[in-house]
Amino acid sequence: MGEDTTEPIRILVAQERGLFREALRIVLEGESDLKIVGETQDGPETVEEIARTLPDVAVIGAKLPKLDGIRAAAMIGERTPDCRVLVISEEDDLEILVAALEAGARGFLTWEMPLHNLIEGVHSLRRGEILVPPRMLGGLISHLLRRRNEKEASARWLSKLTKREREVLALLADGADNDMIARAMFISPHTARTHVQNLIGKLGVHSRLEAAMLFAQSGMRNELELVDG
Amino acid sequence: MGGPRRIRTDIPAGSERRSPNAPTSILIVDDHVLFADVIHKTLEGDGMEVIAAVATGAEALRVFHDERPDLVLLDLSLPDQSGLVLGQAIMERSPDTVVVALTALDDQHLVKQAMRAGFRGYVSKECRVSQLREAITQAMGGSVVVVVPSDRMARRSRVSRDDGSTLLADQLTQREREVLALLARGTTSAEMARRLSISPNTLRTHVQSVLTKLQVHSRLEAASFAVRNDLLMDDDWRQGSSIRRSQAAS
Repeated sequence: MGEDTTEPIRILVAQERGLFREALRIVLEGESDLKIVGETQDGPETVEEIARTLPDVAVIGAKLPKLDGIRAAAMIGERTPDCRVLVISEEDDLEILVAALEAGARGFLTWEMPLHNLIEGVHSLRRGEILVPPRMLGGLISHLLRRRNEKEASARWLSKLTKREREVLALLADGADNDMIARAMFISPHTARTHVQNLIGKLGVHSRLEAAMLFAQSGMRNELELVDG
Repeated sequence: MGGPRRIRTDIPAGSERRSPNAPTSILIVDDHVLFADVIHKTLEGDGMEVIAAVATGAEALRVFHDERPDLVLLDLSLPDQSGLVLGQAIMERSPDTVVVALTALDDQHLVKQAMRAGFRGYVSKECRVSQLREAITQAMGGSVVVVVPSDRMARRSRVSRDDGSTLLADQLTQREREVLALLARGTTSAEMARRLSISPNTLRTHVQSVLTKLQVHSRLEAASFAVRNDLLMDDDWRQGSSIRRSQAAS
């Protein structure tokens, strides 16, 4: 992009294990186009030090003590949004990858990957690219597609319900019975029961419990808030 | 970089089998490829010859068979087999090979097992790069080296320390404790005598007295006793930790 590529990339290394942290610093300092500006060993220290030294890229461990790497990434995103975070994780776990990306991390590597991937990764983050291990890309894409499908499905269900029925469903999912629903919505228990029966019919489920579980699993609460808001 | 470092190179009689100027050839066994790569490059920068970094026990044995490295840096938690067993297998095939555990596990019991199995060293992944370098040099020089964060060992040992050992350890004089702590770090006799400003004869007397009081038969057993019973002295760890940061930064 418009960045001056002759300037070395300024890096902060945040790793819990002393030997790896120090050895990584020595190795990265041997690269002429990289410059280490900080070295930290726990989450809170990392967030502070990044806000102070403003590195281009932070290489942080997923399991930093006190505040793990994922939560630290989210805080770095709030306090120092220009710093691009690369998370190193022990497991090639899709959930950790998704959590890291959601927290704002721009790159993800596992311990099984060789050093040159890390060095290249630092360069790609600096160029504004997103780094995901190729092996995990398939899993990530199907996860994102599945999530979109679920959202669409819940939106479809939701569109079948009236506004009143959506309110009843939300209360039902919180564990309310007919009387509680009636009181909350200023309607008679009989009307409440009618609403419940109607929405059960529209959702194609067989019980209140099933309706509540469907609601909880589908992320419809967020949809509801969107619709209502 | 380059040029000799100020680490001792005295090699006890009997263990010398190669030219003192030849670089130490090393095999790294660790399933964390990123970690192994980083240590590989760091040691190479120090003039050591890293033959390979491999991720499994099976690969380790194959490379070992073909290349016969002087020293094997061995992670104890490998995906396909126990590092302890692998280390023993290597030493059985080649008793001259120096095997050093490099591990995130800091269980005292494991330290003891590794020493019993004949490992020349046990180095924690919490240590400094300078301590790893020094441990390699000392292990190659014939010493037994243990580098573990003493605060952590102390915390655990207080729970499990058995009274018999405490009674034995309590008999040691301050001087003998110092000797034991040095011994557990793999310090050679000459270096111990120099550090404590005593003659080699006096040192020998102290060491013998330590062995007698602890009811053990060798320096190695005494070192293992010290590790088990948290007698490494906190100073020791800090001293090791402060070795020239500047070297790493150059």
